[in-house]
Amino acid sequence: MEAKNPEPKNAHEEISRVLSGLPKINAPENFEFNLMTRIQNGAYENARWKVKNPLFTPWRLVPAAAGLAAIVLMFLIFPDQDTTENLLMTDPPARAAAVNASPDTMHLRISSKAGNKSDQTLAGNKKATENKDKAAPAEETFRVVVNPNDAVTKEKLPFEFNDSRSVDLDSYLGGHKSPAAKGGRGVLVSSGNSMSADEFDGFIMSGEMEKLPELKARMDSIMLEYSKQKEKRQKAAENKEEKRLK
Amino acid sequence: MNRKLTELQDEELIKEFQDHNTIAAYEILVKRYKDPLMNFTYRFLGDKDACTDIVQETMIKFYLNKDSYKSFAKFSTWIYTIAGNLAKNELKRRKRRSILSLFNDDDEKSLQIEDKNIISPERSADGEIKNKMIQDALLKVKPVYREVVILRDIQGLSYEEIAEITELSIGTVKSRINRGRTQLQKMLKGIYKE
Repeated sequence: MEAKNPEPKNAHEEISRVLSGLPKINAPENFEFNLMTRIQNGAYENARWKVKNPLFTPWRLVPAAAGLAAIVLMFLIFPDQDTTENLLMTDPPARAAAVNASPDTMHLRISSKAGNKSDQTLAGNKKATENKDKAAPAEETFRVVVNPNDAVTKEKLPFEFNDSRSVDLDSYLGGHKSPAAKGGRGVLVSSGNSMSADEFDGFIMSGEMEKLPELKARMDSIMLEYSKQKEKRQKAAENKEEKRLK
Repeated sequence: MNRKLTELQDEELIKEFQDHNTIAAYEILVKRYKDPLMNFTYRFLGDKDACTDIVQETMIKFYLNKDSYKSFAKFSTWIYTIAGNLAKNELKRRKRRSILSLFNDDDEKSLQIEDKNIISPERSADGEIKNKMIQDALLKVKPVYREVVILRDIQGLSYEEIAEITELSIGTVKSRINRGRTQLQKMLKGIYKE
């Protein structure tokens, strides 16, 4: 131990001697008087011990207050000048018009393009791919409005629906699958034109078909667990009732 | 009556104060301990004004919480514990203040006592400067070591008393004193070896 510590033992003694030789500091002469005065006056709280947190001194709050005032003034002087609409919060114009239309108006969609519309709707993968690759010609969509005075007017809809990408949901669910659906492609009505056919395949994303058995098994196990728990709860309720009756 | 009180031990005096609320007993205890506590807190903090306040606060606490003193403990250790806790709180407050403060005017850091070029040997021979250097070195020692070194080497308390004040084991107290002294020794090498 001594060998590990190179310091001689008396080195600490020297330090002790030096420290003990320091002059003694005495309390000020009026210490007792001040103390007893404080006690007699009940002034137990020393000014030093009062919270002196510099964060909360008034002069330190001035810049923060000024900043806050400036922000408030900015809002008052320059009210909301942001004219850009939130596209997610507004309806597309065509739909908004359709929703707002009077009940006695009839909506039809007529494609100005030559050719059978149903053919377009039921187009297969090939055609869809072609459409995707080529720059598709502008498809104009119109709305025929039958006015109360039996006058028929045709309005051009700014929003273009792509029928080739649509499928009738009712008939799809009813089992009457369209040729397009048979071909493994199909999208919901008005689900948008921008969506690629490869991205969405009916209700199941492509590539998830393989997961179906696994998902089904998981679903079954959840259902089984649920029914077990339900039975347990029923039994517990019955037991409670029996106890209460007893 | 007063003459009799002055002859009493600390523990007897506080008992008198507790039982009969004798202010004279309290005053005698204040007289006995104001200077040792002042010395202790000054060596710990290095600021006379703050120390006066701390010792006053210690005495106020003693006055208000006299019943929390239990007779099985030594009065000196009890009062030193109060003063020590207040001094440590003051130290923490200062640290917080120095962190918040934009201008850190901490004298401790600015004085480099190890640099012999700044203070010449002639000057260091002067007693006052020497004492100042020792005090500054003491303030550089970690507070946990500083406290026990002061209690042992300056206040002259026993290891048992220090252990009671600091609520540490005697072994820990000894090792802390040793470490504190070693730190001091490194800082004061050029001063006391003359």
